[in-house]
Amino acid sequence: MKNKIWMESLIIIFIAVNCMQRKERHHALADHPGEALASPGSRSLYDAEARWFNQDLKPVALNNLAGKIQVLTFGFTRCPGACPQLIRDMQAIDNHLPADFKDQIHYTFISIDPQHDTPQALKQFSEVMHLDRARWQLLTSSAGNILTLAMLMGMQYKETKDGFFAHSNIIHILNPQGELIHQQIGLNRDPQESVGIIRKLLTDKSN
Amino acid sequence: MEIRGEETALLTDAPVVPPPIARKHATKVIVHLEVREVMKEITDGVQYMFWTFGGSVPGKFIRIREGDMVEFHLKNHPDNKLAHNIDLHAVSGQGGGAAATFTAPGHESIFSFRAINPGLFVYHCASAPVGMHIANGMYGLILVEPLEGLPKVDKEFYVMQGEFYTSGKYGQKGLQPFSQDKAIEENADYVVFNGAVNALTGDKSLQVNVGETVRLYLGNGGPNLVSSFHVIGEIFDLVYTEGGNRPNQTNVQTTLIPAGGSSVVEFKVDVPATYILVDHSIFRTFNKEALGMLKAEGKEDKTVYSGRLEDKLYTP
Amino acid sequence: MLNHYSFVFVTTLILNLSAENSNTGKMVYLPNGVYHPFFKNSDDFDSIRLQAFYMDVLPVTNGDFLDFLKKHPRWQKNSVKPIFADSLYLKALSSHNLSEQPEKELIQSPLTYVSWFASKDYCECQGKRLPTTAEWEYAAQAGESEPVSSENSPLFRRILFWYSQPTVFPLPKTGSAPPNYWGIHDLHGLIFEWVADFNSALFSNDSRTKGGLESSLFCGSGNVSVTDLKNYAAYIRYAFRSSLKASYSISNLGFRCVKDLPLQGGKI
Repeated sequence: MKNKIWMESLIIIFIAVNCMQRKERHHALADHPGEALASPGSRSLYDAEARWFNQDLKPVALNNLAGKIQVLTFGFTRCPGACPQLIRDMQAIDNHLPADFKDQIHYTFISIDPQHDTPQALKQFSEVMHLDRARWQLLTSSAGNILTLAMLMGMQYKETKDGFFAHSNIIHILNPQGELIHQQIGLNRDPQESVGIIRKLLTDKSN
Repeated sequence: MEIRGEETALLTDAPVVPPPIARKHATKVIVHLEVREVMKEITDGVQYMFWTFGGSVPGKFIRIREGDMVEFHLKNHPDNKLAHNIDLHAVSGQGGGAAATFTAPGHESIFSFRAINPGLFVYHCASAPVGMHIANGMYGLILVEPLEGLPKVDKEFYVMQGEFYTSGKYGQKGLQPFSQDKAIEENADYVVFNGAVNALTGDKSLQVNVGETVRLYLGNGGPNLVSSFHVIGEIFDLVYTEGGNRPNQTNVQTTLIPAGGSSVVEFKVDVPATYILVDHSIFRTFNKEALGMLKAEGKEDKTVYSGRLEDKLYTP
Repeated sequence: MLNHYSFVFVTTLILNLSAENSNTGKMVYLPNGVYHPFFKNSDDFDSIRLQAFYMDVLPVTNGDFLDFLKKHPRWQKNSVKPIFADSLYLKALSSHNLSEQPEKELIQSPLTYVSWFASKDYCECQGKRLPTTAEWEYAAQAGESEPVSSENSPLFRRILFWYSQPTVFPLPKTGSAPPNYWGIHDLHGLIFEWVADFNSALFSNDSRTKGGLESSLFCGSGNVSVTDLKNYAAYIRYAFRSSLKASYSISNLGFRCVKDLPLQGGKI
């Protein structure tokens, strides 16, 4: 009899704990901020820990982007004009950077269209745009994760009635710790300011 | 033009004007302007929630010089309900600064502009719905002195007309909400100088002495009505029409101040009197309180104005 | 024996229910509907079809959030990451230790000084989410006795009256004003509320420039136009939302949650 009571008490406790944890677990699957990558006062965007996938279907945690200077934009592969121009603008920045340091600078394209921009679609897009596999990464995730990251970076977008997206045209520059340092706003902009900022980041990095 | 040094702008509440600019070079001017939503009276017993630049209507007077580089800080007090911004008519650029200064409560926006054009310019809030923000008192004046400066006068004053639209009738006591319908119909309840009935009367009248030259920096925040500005008993020796930086007319009795515009008038006070500032669309003066006073004291000159000489019977 | 197992069953059920339903708060059902957006670009939908959903009857209160903080300490003021909340985060609660009982008044008044990230997480931790702008406005366009208020209705006047008054701190408790047609309280007259897509209005904040989008700043063509020029109350709400950034914590901005219907029957 005594054993039975113990067993039942254990079962009750187990179920109770499970119920309370259920919310936490559900929560962990959604995007929520994880532990800090950097120090408590940091403004690293990589603090927004969430699961992403790249064009090769590899899972990518945001903090995998740390350690390099990231030049990043948001867009979608079906975008008729602006997104290809943003990529050309990013390439224009790259063309002005010293060749010796290029391996310290990476480029990231984040899709705002998770429904259509599967990893396969991203891969196709990267081939059409002739993006250097070694230095470019194209990412997708859940709609919620994308929204959270966009909100962190002041990026606006919404669906339009023709099934496309209206979105801000911004090229973001993050330092190796993932902090947002600069935004180049608009299309076809002179890359010199962004180039100057990256050069300064490179100098700071080597000091 | 080279920018030398920097200074923080001295801002004043109407009717006071900051002193003329003495320096002969362009400088960096830092302007700190705070938006406050404050409850005040339009007239006795009639409360209204004013949205203000600097705590009063009209907003602070800003005085700078042609060529200055202005670093503008717009602050929205955290207790305010709404987001606000500013459009300065002196600014050449997107929205006059409006897009760059759109600020949530508890935040501050900073932008800079070069004062390329001299003149007297209105500034106002341009947040949606613009008419409501202006109607609640969000306007003021910024003076950009020309390179050569303005001729010296004895007294300068800041007077800005505006109208208010209340849910209740004229004079109805208590807290009066803004009336969107009346504002759209341009049916004002109050047309006043400097943000309230009697803001420029009694012991708040403008004070001058006989023989002094007076310059009035005039603005009209609107939001809707044009002002036919006149000073009863005076004639304007000079008028800088619509606030341009050169006087272009002399001996004017009544001059127009457009809604969202300005004017500058100068006159020499010849005889003692209480001169009455009015909008000569006259029912506004007497029924909606578009009335202010300028009291001049000093020696009489009976040859200019005798006062009543005689009173006798008239029997045709 | 039967009593014994009943006891086990009932205890388990109670624990299960309480774990699931604590902090969910009362919600009401809003049916499928159509919302006509207040701000509309030429490439925006003319009308937005909304699936039926549940909405919280009341905004989230300080008491609700204090309970949440006990279970999710990473959202406490001294642990939250700066990118997710600015320095004014939870200012109204800052003098209260979690182990103390704050005054009853504060517990029942709406939570403010909360960032979008914290609001979103709070809702998702309960299996809910933040409403979209369309959902919030759809719920909020109801008067007391009709699902859509007409122009110049008492609702519009009441909202404009609220803008004419100073904000009173501490805020009054939620649920004091009568509910609207759907049974929802305090969509107007108490606080502004976060929505999931607050930043997607994409119009120039200088509201005079009707064709005002600088076309290279934003990809998406056409003019921004307002569908109801006399709806000053909506103007103010949309303008306020567009002044915000997701990390802002503002004195009169809080939130409530919505929930999707289960895919196949089932209870909430």
